[in-house]
Amino acid sequence: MAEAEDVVQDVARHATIHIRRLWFEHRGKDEGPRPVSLAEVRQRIDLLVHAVHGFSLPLRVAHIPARPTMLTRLFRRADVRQSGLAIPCTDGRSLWLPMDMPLAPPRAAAGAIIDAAEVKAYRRNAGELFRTIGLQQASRVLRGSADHVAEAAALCPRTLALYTVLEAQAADERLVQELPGMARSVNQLREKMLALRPAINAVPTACRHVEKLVQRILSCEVGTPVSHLPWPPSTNARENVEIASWLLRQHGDGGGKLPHQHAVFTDCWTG
Amino acid sequence: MVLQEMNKLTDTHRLERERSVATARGSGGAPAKESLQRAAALAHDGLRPPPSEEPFYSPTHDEISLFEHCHENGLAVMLKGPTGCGKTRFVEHMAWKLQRPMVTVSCHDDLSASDLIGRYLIRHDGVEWQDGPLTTAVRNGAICYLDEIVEARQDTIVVLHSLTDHRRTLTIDKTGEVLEAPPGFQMIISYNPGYQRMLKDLKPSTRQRFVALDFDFPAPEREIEIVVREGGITASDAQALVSLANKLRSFQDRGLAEAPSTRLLVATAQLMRRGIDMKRACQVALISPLSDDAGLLDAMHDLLDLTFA
Repeated sequence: MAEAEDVVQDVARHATIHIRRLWFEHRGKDEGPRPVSLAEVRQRIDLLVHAVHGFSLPLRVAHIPARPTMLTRLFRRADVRQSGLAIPCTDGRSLWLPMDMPLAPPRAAAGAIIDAAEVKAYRRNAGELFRTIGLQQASRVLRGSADHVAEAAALCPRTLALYTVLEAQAADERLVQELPGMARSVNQLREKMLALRPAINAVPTACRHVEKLVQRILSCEVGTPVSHLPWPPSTNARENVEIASWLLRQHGDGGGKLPHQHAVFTDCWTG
Repeated sequence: MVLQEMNKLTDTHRLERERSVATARGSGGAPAKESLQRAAALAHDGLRPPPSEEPFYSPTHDEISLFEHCHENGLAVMLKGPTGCGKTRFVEHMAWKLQRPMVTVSCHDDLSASDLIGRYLIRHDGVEWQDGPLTTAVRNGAICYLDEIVEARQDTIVVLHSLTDHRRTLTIDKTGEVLEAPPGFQMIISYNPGYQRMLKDLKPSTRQRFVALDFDFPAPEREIEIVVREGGITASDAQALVSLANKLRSFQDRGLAEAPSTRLLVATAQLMRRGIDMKRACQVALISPLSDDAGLLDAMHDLLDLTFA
């Protein structure tokens, strides 16, 4: 016979599951489709990462960064302004993915009902984005990208930014080599992210060359060489720190004030 | 009246059987040709003559020579391994190699001792004894293969005990016969320790009567060779299939009851050979049969989409 505390625990568990399901069902705005959240695709991504790479990583929710204070804005004007969205990342032991994807939901005209096919396509795209970003971050874990972040950061913020971008490119190439069917999804992600990048002129002068590099990579399809970058991308993350330093030396200061912390606009692709 | 008839029949039957057993013992393993003719005559009893052509089997280790030694020494063999890894094919191959007829029984939880040993059947003109597959195998010196043995009830399995130790005899209590297994007789059982072990298991007293041969999925190169040979597709396609299957097998740690087998790969390859698109063939023959869990199926379909451009 079940103990009283077991019954209470079971009731609590079932209640939690029910409330969670209700919350998912009614999440989002009334007039739009229900957004796809990480919790819904977590198991799928986890299974996929395990099947592809042979290891499992805890999937955590990447939080939205705190809004920059007035003083930060005043004294760090040379930094690149960030989107304020949650950014996917990894420390080599866990994956952090945003709770939602930056996808505009389909909108219906006033009084009209959104087409079911559009809703389905929106949810499929969101799921695919989660999958692509999750596998990209897992690919970075395999490359050991996180192990050299401190080394790159110790040099300067722009070296770190260049290193991050080079690693994002290399992770894409590795992923597509492993899973040729990922090429379409990676290219779609690149297109989406390119459309959301800031204009070059809006970026502080010293960081413009980094932004140009990011946009150059994003405008290319995965598997194709990018001008002024080594091809194929290095398979060794440590080498990318050296390549980042070399790229920075090639470019010089750029004539502006150097950034304190953020030298690149981070998004779901750069991580 | 019926009882008297039955006793009369039993006595006649017993005498006939004793004569046939004595003949079998006296011949000490009759010539193969005679044995084959007898096997063909008894095909309706579930006795299959040895295959005329060599069934394809790619050995993974020393299982063939081990089996041959077991056969020479009259040792019973237990084959353990996941579904579709080649256990049944191995037995067919050995039946061909040793030129022994074979009786296969697919065990289930309604299988009784009578189903194995035999029973009296009521005919229009009286009662007749009908040998079960085990008795048929013993009388004919055949290989008796009990597939998925743990599915059978424990009290049914116990009838094998006297056949699988030094006695090598089968007692038929209904006819009062004690059959001594001829040298060609061999008992083989198989089961899948993966999913079956959780619910059912063999008794230690049964286990310790068998030589156990462990089976697993073949190494990738060997599995490619098998898929090419059995499925009739190109080596590059077979390589892609095996690579996908190895990725899918990792789902076994994450809730998949049973990993995709070599048999599933061969089925997929056969569909591909008939012109079905690779992705579609994988969907219907490789992924969908594995599970009904929506999450697992989604992840497996994702993997399929991503693996092939």
